[in-house]
Amino acid sequence: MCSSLSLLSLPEDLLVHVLAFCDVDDLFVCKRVCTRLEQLIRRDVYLQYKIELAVTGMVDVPSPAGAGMPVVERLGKLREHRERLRRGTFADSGVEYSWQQWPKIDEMPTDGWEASLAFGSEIAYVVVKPPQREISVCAPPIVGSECAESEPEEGMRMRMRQWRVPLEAFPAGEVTAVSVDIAQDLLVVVQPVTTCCHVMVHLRSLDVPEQRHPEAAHPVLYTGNLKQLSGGRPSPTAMSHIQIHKNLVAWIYSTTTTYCRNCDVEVWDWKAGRLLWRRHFDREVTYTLLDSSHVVVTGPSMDHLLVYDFLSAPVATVSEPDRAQHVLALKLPPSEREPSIQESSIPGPPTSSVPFWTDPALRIIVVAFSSRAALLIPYSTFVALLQQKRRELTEATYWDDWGMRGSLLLHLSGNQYPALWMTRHCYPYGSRVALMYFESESYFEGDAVIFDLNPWAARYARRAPHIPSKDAMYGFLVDPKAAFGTEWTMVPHTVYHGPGMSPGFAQAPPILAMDQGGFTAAFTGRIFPSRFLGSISYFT
Amino acid sequence: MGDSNRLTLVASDGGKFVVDKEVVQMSVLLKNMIEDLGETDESIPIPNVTSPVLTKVIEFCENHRTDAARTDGPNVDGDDARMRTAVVSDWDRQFFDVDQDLMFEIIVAANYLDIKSLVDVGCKVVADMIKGKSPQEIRDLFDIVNDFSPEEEAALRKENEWANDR
Repeated sequence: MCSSLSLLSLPEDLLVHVLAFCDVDDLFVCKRVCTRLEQLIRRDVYLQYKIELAVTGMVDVPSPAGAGMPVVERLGKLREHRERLRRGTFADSGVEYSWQQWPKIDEMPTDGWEASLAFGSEIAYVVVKPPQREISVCAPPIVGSECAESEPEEGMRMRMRQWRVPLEAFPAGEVTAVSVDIAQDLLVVVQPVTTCCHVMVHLRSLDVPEQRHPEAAHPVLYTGNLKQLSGGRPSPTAMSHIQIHKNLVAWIYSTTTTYCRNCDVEVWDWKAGRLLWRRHFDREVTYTLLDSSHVVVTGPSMDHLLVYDFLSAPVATVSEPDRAQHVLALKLPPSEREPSIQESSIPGPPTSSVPFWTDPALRIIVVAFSSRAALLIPYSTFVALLQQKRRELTEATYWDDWGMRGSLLLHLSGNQYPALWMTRHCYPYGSRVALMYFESESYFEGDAVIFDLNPWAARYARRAPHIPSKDAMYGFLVDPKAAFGTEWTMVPHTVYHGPGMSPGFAQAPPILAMDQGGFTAAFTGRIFPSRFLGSISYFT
Repeated sequence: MGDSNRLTLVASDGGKFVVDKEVVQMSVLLKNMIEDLGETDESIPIPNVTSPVLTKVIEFCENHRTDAARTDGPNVDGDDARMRTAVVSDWDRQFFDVDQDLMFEIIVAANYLDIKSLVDVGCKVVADMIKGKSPQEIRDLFDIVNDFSPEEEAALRKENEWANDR
């Protein structure tokens, strides 16, 4: 055996094997070490796939069938998907609730449809239609799957996946909230118990809604406010903001009294039928699940984000909902008011076999502020802060100590761009979130703009040929990075221009929810914000 | 001799190693060889591997004989952390706390003998050494010559602008 071995004298297959264990960060660094490594990384299909997954914000999904799709084929599909994203051309999905030309007021339903978003491992859209006696659920087509590509019937259109749930399956009365997790075939339906201040939460199969979910230990969860409200008569309770992640379901259970409105954030193990954690707040809060053990909540004083660890919290916190202690308190930027955490999904692959899926590690949490500013925080920032925090406990971290490096603050920097950005009701998926830019206060005509905080996408975008933005066509100039003053930030990000939209006069600015391939804009009434008017889905 | 559960391996420099058959079977190459030979007292020459390297390889196999059935790689949960770089156990890390020559020789020998777990651990250790370093630090560590032209280097740096703290 030769006397002196070094890294580069390893046989090529072993060298590739070493590189296969490297993080994508390290692969980018290795490409700059020498020509041999650079070529090796560029030519090896597996390494290239690994890099391009990161650039696209995706993770590999091990195929359940075992051997699965060869890497070359996966890479091919990934490149097609990325090319669609990069081109940034959006096509109307032609989903059932969309109207080709806005506004067509006559055709709009006025009969009390209620729309909501469902935050499971993939995002879904739910419309409860009492007159039709049904709940309809739809979800975007799955990127990279056969069904998404085999139906080119109307140009670029792809089919939304649809489910219809008859309201007859829930005879107990009014349905007040619905959520789904398609990957787990879970349908969550909330109904109030009329005799007391409780609600029941049905755990059903989405495909067979008459049946309880096979993995649920109990078909119904009952919950209610433990804390006896002093003074004032409790009015009907509301459950909202339902999020599902694997065996977890979380929600806000709020009670309004004559004097105040307060709420409990609860996390349940729906499979075991067990309440894991509960925190009571004396005012309205917003929250989102961070991962399998943490939630982030807007603190009661509204100038903090509080992170709670619900898995290692003592059991006593369930019966003493005021006691749960946070593990992290992050001060929000002092200039902004009324923070509102936008709920989000923790991405996970659907049951059907797909080669890759949105990377949950790259996802972002969005906090909207009243002044049309927003804070985009990568999940990795929370992970880093939680690791640091293991040593010192619950003292608040000042904005300057975490925010500048660890988040992207979208803040309209001057008079040059009047307050025409909508940052509320903008729900992220993975590393991306869509915002709305309006030409005037009438909100009559606007453009969607997509921020992407995937650092690899940002790197790729710098090399990619310049994409002419649609401003040139429409004749007005908007550079989102300049408008928000983010061009000098330390947080890598990319901005894409999305399609234009023209909500009608009676409509509020649309609710924008990102999904894997594009986003959906849902339109609601301006005067009756809960009234659902319609939606359009866009896919790249 | 005569113990049917043990056999002798002969390294390229003539060093002899008596080892349990069960341990040897971690090597796919040797396992196949033993099956072909059947019951025999003959020692098996391993012409590509020196004694110091073979000592280490046997040490690894003896330590890992119980976990042969272990499935490879971590169970990727996805949401809590990036699990893409696999974790190396403390024992394995200590095992590879040797000079680079020997480390690479062990990896090459493991590859030749077809001991998948040792190849994986070795490659993970090397990947771990690369982790978080700058290009120049990697060159220094592995004695690699920078053979990019200045133009190529400038282009590559531009491509990596966001990672400018490395």
